[in-house]
Amino acid sequence: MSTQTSTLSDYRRRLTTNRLGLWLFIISDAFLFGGLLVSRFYLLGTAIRPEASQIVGLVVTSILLLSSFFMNRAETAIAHGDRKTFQFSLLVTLLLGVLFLAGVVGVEWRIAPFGPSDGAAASLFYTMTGFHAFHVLSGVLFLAIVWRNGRKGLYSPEKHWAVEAAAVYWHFVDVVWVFFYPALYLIGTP
Amino acid sequence: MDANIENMKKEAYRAGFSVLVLLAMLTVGEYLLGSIAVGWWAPLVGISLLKAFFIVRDYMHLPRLFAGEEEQE
Amino acid sequence: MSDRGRAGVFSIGLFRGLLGLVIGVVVGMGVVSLARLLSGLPAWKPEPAWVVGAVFGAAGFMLATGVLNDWWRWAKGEETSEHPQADPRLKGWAKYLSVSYDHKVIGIQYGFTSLLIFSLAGLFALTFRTELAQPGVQFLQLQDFNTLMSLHGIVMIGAILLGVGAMSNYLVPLMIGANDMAFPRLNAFAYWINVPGIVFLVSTLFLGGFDTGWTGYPPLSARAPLGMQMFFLGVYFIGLSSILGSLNVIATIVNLRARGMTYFRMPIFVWTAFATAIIGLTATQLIGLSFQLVMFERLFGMGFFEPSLGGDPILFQHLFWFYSHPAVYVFVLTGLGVISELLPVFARKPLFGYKWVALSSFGIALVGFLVWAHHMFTSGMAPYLRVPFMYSTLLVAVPTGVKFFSWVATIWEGKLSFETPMLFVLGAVSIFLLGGLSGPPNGVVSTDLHLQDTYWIVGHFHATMFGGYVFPFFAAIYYWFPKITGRMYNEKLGKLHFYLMLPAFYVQSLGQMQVGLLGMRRRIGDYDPALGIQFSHLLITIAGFVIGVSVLIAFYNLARSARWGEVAVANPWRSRSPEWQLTSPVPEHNYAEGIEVVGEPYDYGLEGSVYVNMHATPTEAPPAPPAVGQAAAAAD
Repeated sequence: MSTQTSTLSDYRRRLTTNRLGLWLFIISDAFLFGGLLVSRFYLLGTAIRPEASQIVGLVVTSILLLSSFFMNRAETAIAHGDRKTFQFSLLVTLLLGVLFLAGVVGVEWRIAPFGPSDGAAASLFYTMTGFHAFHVLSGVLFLAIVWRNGRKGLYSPEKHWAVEAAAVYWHFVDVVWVFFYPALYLIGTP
Repeated sequence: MDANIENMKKEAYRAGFSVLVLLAMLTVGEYLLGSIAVGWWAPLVGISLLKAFFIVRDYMHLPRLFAGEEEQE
Repeated sequence: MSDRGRAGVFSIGLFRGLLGLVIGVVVGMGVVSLARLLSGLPAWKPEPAWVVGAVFGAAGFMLATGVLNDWWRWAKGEETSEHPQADPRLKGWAKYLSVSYDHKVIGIQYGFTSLLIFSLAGLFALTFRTELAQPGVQFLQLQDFNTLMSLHGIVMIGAILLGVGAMSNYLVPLMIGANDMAFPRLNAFAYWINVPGIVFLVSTLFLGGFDTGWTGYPPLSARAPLGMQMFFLGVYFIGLSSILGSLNVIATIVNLRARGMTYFRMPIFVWTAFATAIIGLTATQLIGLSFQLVMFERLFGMGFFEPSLGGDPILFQHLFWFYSHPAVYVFVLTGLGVISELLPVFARKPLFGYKWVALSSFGIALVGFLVWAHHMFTSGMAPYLRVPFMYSTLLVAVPTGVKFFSWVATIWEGKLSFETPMLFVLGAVSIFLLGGLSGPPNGVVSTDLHLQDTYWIVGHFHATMFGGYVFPFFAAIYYWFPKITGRMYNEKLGKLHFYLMLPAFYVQSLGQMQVGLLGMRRRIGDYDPALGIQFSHLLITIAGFVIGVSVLIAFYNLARSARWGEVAVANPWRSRSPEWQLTSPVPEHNYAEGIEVVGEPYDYGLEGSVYVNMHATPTEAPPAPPAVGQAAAAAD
């Protein structure tokens, strides 16, 4: 492999551009979620919140937080060439993501004492969790692709941009929930 | 050399774990604050910002964006 | 024979895509109907069926064109070439109707599509303008008037966004010495997603229309016919294109500049494209969100903007204008960049105050984020918001004034020559001045309370758009035409275009302002003959048709010259910009040998000054080994 160094430096040049591109996408997406948060406080203020289950809220928040930890662990592992930990942690992240979706869409939406058309607070609750869940779903699909390609041995400590991108995106989805959780569950009274 | 890489790896895992502990503590605090002190929205926003700061810095590696091409990780 | 012919048609991406679109719509409708059937509801309900159908249709379109192929292969874990290639069998016009990853081809695709829907929107305008030539209802029912008026607005906005995309796609990589955009596949995606967007916008004509104007305010938009939903979806996809295109422009400018091309040595057009992209990247999300919320309100009975459910229609206006005001800077900034770019070339003088002009674009973009509520002085929002927004609005005049003073000072004592591009630039400056001067009365609360929603606003807005986009865009087309085609346009026809369009535009715009001050409301298909504005309306209509004729002349000129025009000399405008140092049309991989920037961009008339060194001898190989990279970083 005499071309190793030149392709590697090519890869790194691409990497800086790719990172910038991903962060620009995240900034753009953040404006979407920012708009939702603004809508929530514009319509409900800090005194009212949707009447959602506190327990489910805390549980799904913990699940997502834990998934972020495992995502970070997976990325650290591949960066240091620890394939076994990488595949395992990635799978855990993915499963936690699915669990989060089940918790929000399967449990919370089902047990909520209101439907999407029962007033502004209800509409906001379904829209905000819905937009977020859609992002989690796309993140889960992304992770599944990375997991499958990881099993084929496509990533190395030097070249694993796909893993890094999936990780950064996943953490971004977590950051969104960091703001959505108090906005939907903690601030105000039902 | 190998031992060095092994050490760096352990260090990186440990760093990731300590961020988790920090975030978990903040989340518990947030939950307690939210359920005890109704109407205290400002500290909740503060905690959210703090959590977001740690995730963006330590998990999303924002500083990497500004690192040169030659230094990775 | 016929089989081969059919295969031939579907070897072209656009036609394949349109077939995919139809299939997608049908599948989407089927999915909705099936889901409704399974949950015990009557199978057919038009609104959800069309919405889901349209989303599936857009996906079908993108899949069928083949623009997603490389990403699919990445997902499967396959490698693709670093520089994606279009289907090499496609030649001539077929290349432009199919997926290409070359920024120059994409730029022309953008430009052509832009002119196409620009003409379409112009046609809508002429139709309802003819209706307005006389008071009373002649041939256009009021509902149709509303739909055409709304479509004129939004299709024009689409045309302008695509035109801006055309300029930044074609010019930015060439001007900064790059060989393509940072993300060629994303670039192609961003272009092609416009096509279903445009199809959906036009489909509103056949789905009951919509009568809200392009602003789509609820509660009216929550009750408008089905066309409203297709309008939302159309805007959504065009907005998505704008976001992804902006992302690409920023990444290109930040990371792909040629050696020596520091930020303050970039051509001024690149600065404006940069500022434009920052707005497009961020603010566009908010119009997408506001329209989606109305969409959900219609689909699921949600209550964001419905006061009886605890919602508030004013919220929509805040979200909507947070994009839609900065959007007008998206429309004009690149145009103003063209003016600053061309003036020094035709005045043979350095651009006056380069740094100030460069930063003024950012000034306009950033202040532009803080002015949105000046559209809402009469909306019933909290009154204390009025005065701060008035001041921030008037503040926009400062960076805009910087540009004007720079233009005037650049012209001052220059050796001007008046070819068609220069004429359009000067026309743009004069019209943008009219647009600028008619602005403060709308920004000041006390006068705006009277001017809100009158034809005065229509006149003001058209002046800013013609001065900030239409005239500069035509200037850019004529100026870069020899670069794109290698041939010269017909100068006589170009000048005829200008001398018809400029006076006609003044008649139209000043007439609109006049009837507005005399009491004509905007967006109304009829007016009281007692207002005494009938003659003005007739003049405005005639002027509109003259503009239409002038644009047809331009199209004839461009189409004919592209084929039979005389072959252009190497650098007809004696420009210093790097793209003019290449052969025309530009070779496929722009700067094969790499360039190096060694001087200032606009030192026209200064003896011995050099901007670009075209054949930069590669003392160090471009993919620098780590050690050299480090040294370079340290030197930075």
